[in-house]
Amino acid sequence: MQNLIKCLTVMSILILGACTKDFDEINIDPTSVSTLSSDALFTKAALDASGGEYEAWRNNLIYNTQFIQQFASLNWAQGDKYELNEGYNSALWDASYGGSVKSLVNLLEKTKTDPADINYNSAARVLKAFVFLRLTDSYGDVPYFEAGRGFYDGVFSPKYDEQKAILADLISELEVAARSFDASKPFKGDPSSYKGDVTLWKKAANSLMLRVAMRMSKKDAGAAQAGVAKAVAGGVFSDYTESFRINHLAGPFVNPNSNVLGFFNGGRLELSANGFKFSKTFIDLLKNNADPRLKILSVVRTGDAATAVIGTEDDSPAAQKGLPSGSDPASITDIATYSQLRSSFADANDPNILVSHGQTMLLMAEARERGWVTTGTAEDYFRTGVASSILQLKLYNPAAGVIDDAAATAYSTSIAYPAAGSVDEKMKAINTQYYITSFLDGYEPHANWRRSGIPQLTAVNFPGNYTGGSIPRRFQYPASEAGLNKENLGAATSRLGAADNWNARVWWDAN
Amino acid sequence: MRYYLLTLFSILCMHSVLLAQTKQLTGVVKEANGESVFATIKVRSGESATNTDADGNFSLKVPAREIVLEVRATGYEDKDVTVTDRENNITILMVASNAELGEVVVTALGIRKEKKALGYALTEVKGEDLTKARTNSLVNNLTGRVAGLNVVSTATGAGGSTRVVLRGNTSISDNNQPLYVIDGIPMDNSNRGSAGEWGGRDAGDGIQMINPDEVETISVLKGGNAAALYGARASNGVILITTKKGSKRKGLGVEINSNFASESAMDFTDWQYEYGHGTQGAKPVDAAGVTGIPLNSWGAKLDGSSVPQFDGTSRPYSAQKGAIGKFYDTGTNLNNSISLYGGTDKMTYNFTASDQNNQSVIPGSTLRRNNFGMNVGINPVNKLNVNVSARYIAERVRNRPRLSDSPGNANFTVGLTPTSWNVKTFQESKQTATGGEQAFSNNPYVTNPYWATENFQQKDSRDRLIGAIEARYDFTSWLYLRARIGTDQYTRANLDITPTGTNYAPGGQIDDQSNNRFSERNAEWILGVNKSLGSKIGIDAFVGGNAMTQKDETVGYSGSNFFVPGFYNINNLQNKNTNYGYREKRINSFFGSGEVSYNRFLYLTVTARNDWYSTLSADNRSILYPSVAGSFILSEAFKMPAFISFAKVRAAWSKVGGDRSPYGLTLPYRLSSNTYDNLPVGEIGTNTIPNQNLLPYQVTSSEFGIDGRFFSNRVGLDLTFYQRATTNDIISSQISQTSGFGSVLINVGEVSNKGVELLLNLTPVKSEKLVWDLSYNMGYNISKVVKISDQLTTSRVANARSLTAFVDHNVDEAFGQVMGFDYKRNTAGQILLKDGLPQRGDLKAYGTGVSPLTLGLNNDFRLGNLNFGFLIDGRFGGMMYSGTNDFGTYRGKTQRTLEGREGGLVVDGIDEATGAKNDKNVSAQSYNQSIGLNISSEFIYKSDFIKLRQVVLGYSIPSKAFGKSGIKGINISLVGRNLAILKKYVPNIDPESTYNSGNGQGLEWFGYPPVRSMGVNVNLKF
Repeated sequence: MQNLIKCLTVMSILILGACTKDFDEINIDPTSVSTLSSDALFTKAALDASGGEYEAWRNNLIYNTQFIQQFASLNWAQGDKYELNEGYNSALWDASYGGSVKSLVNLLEKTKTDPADINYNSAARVLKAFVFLRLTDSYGDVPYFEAGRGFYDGVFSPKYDEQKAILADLISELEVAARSFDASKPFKGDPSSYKGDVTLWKKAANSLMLRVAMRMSKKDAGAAQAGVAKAVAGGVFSDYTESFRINHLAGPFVNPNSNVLGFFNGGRLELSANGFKFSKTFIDLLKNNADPRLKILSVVRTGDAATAVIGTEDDSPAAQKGLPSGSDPASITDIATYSQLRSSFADANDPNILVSHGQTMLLMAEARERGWVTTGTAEDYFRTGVASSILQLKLYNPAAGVIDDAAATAYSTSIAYPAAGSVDEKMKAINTQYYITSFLDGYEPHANWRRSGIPQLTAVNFPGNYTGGSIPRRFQYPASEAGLNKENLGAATSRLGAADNWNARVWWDAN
Repeated sequence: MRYYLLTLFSILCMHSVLLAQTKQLTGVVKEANGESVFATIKVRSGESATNTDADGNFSLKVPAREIVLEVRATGYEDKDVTVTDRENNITILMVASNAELGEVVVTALGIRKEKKALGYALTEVKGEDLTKARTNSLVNNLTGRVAGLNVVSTATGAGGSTRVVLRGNTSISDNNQPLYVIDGIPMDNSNRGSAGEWGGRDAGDGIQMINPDEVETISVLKGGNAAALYGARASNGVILITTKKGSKRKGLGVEINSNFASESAMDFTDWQYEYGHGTQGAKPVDAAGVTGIPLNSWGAKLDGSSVPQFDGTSRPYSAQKGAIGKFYDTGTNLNNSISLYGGTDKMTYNFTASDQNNQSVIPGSTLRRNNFGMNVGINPVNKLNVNVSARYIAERVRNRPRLSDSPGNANFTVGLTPTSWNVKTFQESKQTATGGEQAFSNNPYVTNPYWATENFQQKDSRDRLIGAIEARYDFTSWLYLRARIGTDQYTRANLDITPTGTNYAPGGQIDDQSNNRFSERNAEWILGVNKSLGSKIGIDAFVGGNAMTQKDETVGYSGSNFFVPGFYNINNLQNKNTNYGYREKRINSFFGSGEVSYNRFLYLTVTARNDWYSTLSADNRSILYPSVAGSFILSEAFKMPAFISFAKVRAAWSKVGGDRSPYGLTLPYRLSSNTYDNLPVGEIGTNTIPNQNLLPYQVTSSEFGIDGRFFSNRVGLDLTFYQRATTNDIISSQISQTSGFGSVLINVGEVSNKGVELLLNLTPVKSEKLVWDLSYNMGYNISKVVKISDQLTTSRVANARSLTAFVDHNVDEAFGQVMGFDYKRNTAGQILLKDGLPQRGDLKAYGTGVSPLTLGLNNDFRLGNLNFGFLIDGRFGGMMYSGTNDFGTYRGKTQRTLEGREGGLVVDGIDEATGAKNDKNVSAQSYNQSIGLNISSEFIYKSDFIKLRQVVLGYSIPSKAFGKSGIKGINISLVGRNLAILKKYVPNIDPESTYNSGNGQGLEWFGYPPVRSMGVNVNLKF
């Protein structure tokens, strides 16, 4: 009995007395930490900002590159024929807000006070501007000022901001970033091609600012001109090697395009002989202009049609043939014979070019023609842009000899520029080159086509399409927002002035 | 409190019981017909107690004076016998009772109580109801047997999980399933993997591992009063499983049970077979054209002409019916078990071993399980009883099928096989010359069903130990101490491979290879008093404590691209990702219960429990919660009319607190398992916003019931009204992704449930030869989501793969609304068309995915040694979104797609552009694809059904027939399970089809067909 009592006493002490002493310790998750260094967070945020396989396949490849008829396909007809797929439509939204926006907002918050963090803070501003330009170009008014702040402010249903206000803030953010980079402060873990070189980051901020400003050319010329002036005064890219890009590794952090267009990780077979094809529109454009990029980019592939075997790549220009966009699968019986992308442009360790020198020079040419840039000649900017656009393909992994520097220079000097032509002719020359040089980033040429109307594309009208036979002008708001952010979504859709679908136009895309 | 306890024990020590002179009393307890009765016998004044042996004999040391013996036996009316000081050998005759008059049931913490004392509803199911017509999980056998119990099993292969909900769902986003307790040990029932809208496999839950042969009874404790003692995890009710124990008997008892069942897939499809494979009314012209289009049945009218198929072979363009029958195998399920049991004065034992071998109807999907269970009771010294129970379970499952989304889901492809294709062609032309999966459509993410079942590989093994040591010391006849250490632990190894050559992942993948180790330990003690004060007042009370520790650790990796094709090893992977997961939580508790009874007709029980949770912050982690319950037996208190055999009213109220998962208080940062250029890569490691200020949630329940037996127990009625309200629910509420996060942990959820449960027992025929027992049960639950948060009036629980149908909680509506998009309409409600096609309108709620009304009707006939029984059950009032019908329409397989195949159709509606009546003709394909993509409400159906769930025909060979052979009895039963759906509303599928057992019920997406099983059960006793 005495022993039992002792036993019981010990038991009750154990249970009641020593109750909760170590509970705080137990509730610390051993698989996570409470904070991480700015550079480790920056690396991930920057990789996220360059996009992921999820939305790269859906919004970029399937939709945008086919909307603007750079690619065409029978298998992934949703973009080729303007068919709605809810998941594809919303992929960029879901991936950005849950990925890069969250990471970048968090990094901005974490780095806002310590001066030693200024480079991470500034670079995060640049990347955030890049991500939000893409989002607002794609959907229109989107949550911006309150976005990604669920943890900090407890805002679970962010307001949708007007695109005009977003673009204005992007310019001001880029301004702040460009003047804040400080070479004397640490900047590690930078996965961009700049590897922490703040001088180049400043140029990237200004070149992106030029893009944001030019986006408004059709709707708000005043704001566009003011933005261009700021960007040019700050200093933009001066060489193709300065193009702003995220470098990828062949290991886990690969170029998203390589996941969807290439053979990495098995790829998605879009480059198998049955897969993604160049659109006839794009191939004919290169052919008609005797563009050397035809031979660089386009091949006809032989090999097992359904597998990942690359086979041989025939790049002779004569063999190249584009698949007409909107083709009826029943009418195409020789799908393997249509041109495809040379696989080395979709290697795992190919970079993602976010803003290129070529694009920047072409925007400068247009701005010069519009009188918003007052130095240099439009033709010089144009030719520099064209040369740079060809040379920038060297930033990928093509085999030696595929790109000929001399031929690129020769082409850029020989291509016709209508210096004495009409504004329309000049715009056409410049923006046609912008369309070609933006290839592989479907968002940018889709936006620039909406802004400039160039190139002139013939819409297809396949049964079951979602737009009534016109090329989509935006993505619609994700269905998930209808339930989770109803009021704010309602305010945004009412500002659209039209039904929330692919035919509505975003603010800068004035009729 | 410690002081109090010490004091109590000091008093105990000083109190030495002085025993008077004693004598040995022997006797036998039997029925009038001579059948021996297993009974407990207790001297009312408390000096001693014992049990009878298997032959009804007992021997007891009693005071040598006139005493009263209380004889109690399950199924018999209580009997109190006065024994004079001269009697040394007595015979006690017991009267069988169908009423609960003397019924003893297992209640919370394993404490046996007379059922009449309970102030809350409790349903007991006997083990024998679980063993004959076997299912994936023994809880499936509770379907239709317990009022208010809602069972939904996942449409998968062997070893799948089951969702069980009692009295409605209490939590908006956390677990809503009851706590399973096996011989006092809480059992982890978490699902180790389930499918969502993007696919996945159902990895099975915990309860399906329990062998029904080991089960003596299952007590279903529905109300909150049980939880008031078990703590938060029991706030959804408790299912107490009591395993078979040995008892004192002559010689060794042996029971052998063999069960064989043949399983077949049930085919509910009713597709159109008038138009074949193709697109826009045209059949494919060559093989390249075949693989360039989806699995469409939008071709030309079937005409028997020779048309190319994906493998380049042309075959007649004619209807190919019965894909389900052709694709699925005949499954088998073989169960063998043997029990050895017996006992002496000093010990009792029961050992059970069993083997289950299930070949599912899904080709290659198998389960093998061995269960070993033992219960040993030892009485080493006087007053001390030690029980050791242990259960070891070894489960091996192969090829759990992939569910929901198309990659690897064989049934997706079987379901969409074009009407002019024979599903067997997929087998003939599965592989290319190089051994890869042959492409058959334009979408590599749709997998050849034979590639999915034959080439995909998955296997898992789970080794589980559930065991406890319990010691009970009876200081006196009325004071006892019970201590128990119990554990439930398992390791699970999983391997999941996407083979090389799969179209969507040609390099192949190891999707998961991991080891998971789970353990839960509970240390519990109880000090109890069970004493009569005088002849009328009884006290049954205890205090106790419990310390719970739960750990869950996973180490694993995944990767892609095998260098050497077909060699599935980590070292052969080009890309690897490692993962490590760990969770630990503790709950310490102190609790007490006191029951006072008056004159055996009035009972009042009060309990209190205090929990301390490791998962909450120091300021918020302690919560004290009470319960009270009363029972009044009218028929014992008052003289009743003759037709009333028994009448009781009961009422109960309780409050329960609880916590949720650990680590929800702070924002975690995590490092990627890979580096970038040898630099660490880190980010916020959660998609859920944490919350430092989380409080325990609370569930308040009350219930009121009446229990009556009439006409000599030929009519029984048990009626319960209840309500439950959850407040401060800790919810992971889905929020707009634009906040950066997909969900937020908040403490504001409120859910209410009210309902009624009815159990009606009738014995319409009771003669010498024939007895007909009829049992009808009904549960009706009205749930309401009262509050989600200050900001949110809606919260998303689940998405369908189409991303056009959802399950949402909406404030002021029932739990888990099935949401779909309506047509776009004008204010007058007319459909607005654009270019002749309907457009997507508002997202609307179409009703709860959880059927509020459940019914069960059980009939048992006994004619001599023959027995026949059947069970019909039904669910009503719920809704479901059927992805099979949606996609079947999109792909031209449903009957509704036949309209307008020739010449198109003009949809009834208003042209939005002109405001005039639509006159634009569109093709049937355009119209139906537009509906399929946009108007998900067209595919939301009533999920109501009535099923003939089970039929059993049995024959017991009487023991006389075996003479002296030692065989005590043989029972042979023919059983059928899931025999027919008598009523349903949703076409082409089983209305019960669901791809997971989570909270988002009401979504269906090409689930595996339900299984009908027919078999034989042989039970042999020695």
